[in-house]
Amino acid sequence: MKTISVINYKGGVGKTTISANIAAELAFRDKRVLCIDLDAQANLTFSFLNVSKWQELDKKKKTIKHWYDEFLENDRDLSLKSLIESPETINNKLRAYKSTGKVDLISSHLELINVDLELATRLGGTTDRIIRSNYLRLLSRLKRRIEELQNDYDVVIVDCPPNFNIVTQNAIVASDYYLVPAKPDYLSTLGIDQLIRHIELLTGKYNKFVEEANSDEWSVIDPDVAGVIFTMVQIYSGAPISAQANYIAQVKRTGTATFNQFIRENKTLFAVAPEYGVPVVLKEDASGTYLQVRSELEKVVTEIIQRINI
Amino acid sequence: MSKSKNDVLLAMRMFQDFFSRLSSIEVENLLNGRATISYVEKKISNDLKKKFDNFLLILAKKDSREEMLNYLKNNDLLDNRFAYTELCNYLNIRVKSKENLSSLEEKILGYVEENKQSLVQDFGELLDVDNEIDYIASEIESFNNTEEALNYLRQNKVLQNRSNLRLLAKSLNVYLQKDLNNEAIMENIVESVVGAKLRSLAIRNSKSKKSIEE
Repeated sequence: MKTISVINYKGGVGKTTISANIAAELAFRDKRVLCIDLDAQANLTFSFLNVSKWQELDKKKKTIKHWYDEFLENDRDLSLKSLIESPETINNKLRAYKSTGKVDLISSHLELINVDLELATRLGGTTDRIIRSNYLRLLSRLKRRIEELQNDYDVVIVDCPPNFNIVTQNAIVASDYYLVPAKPDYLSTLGIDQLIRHIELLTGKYNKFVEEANSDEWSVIDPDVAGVIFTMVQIYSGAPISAQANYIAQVKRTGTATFNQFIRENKTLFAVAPEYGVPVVLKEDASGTYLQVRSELEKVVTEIIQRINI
Repeated sequence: MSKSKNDVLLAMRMFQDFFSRLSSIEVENLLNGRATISYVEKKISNDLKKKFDNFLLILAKKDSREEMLNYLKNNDLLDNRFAYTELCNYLNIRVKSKENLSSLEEKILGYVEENKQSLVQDFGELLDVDNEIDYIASEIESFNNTEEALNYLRQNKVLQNRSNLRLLAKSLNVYLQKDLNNEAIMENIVESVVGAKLRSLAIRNSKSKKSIEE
């Protein structure tokens, strides 16, 4: 099983769109996929479930926020299995395509934003040992629970919030790889370097604590960058416009892994798809530009499969 | 149209693929005459044009027909019939559908022999510039100091010409606004290639091998 975080500090770059479409296409290719929505905006959740369904899950305490609540209020480490939901619409679509894959979901919650603040109070301590133990325990919670799902899924996709708080750090610690959707513009390219640096610092600190702890309870992490996927690209004569090609080339020159395939801008297609619970990549009657967008998404998934050996 | 069974089958498959990708509205429009299908030949890319020009220049510089034929038969660029046809189209040499490779080779060699002098003169100059620009592009990417990179560009005679500067920017995917003078173009190139790299390194707080060596 491979765990992939989809992350970028900048909002609105297509993290959720990429997460939903990658999940759908992998499932179409017969993979068992679990999506974990860690973004308090809950956009990935609402890409697969309608609001009334989500309200039902909320009443039953079946969102990731409730999982964190159990830890914060009762110091309990629950299994993630009880939170897993199989969204009907997308899975029916997969069955119609005769796919043996599936997409399951652990939903987010708007109040997850408060959880970060409370989790931060669990860090620290009076001695180095306590500080280290609290740090490792807090940051590895998601990792440990995801590992329990090894036999149930081929891929776990974690849609991260646009920040580097405790919840996001949980995701990175749990991940084998991370994907960085980015718009090819000046601010986005600066953000990529910052993100990679923070992940390297997190990995360094976590692994240092693991070595100091010297216990079988913890293991080192090595989340690798699967690549930067450029999104919202404007095309002219079959290639990105020069202003955007400029930034794509700049990122490639830094040696950062970058996907060969980019995703073009299409406001109509991407604006509408979440409302129907089926990502663009599974749209069957695509033609013209829609078909181009769909095949771009398919090629991105092919690159993902090759890069991380799913 | 070709009467070969294989060609007809291939063409039918092509049409089938084409129609299967249309929406029902698009098919209806075609049937009702509200839309039409047209044949458009793909243009060869600039990259392929450069390769053809380079190939023709090398061929034109050969001393004998035997050497020319040997080079034609053993190069990587023309490794199938389609590549031969593309080169003939580029040179406006007419190609018949059933023409074999030997016949195409003869036509290409004939063209080169007839136009030897102008090929060497015209392509020689163009390709020298293209090759120089490619070399400058690869060199500029290795700089870790913007001032040194700028001086490197300033000192290069090929880049005194603004269109060559713009070609260099294009080969590096550097976006330029219109109406920039030569100095501004060079600054843009250096900023985009070297400046961006240094910014990235600074943010990631790591050192490049070259700066360590320096």
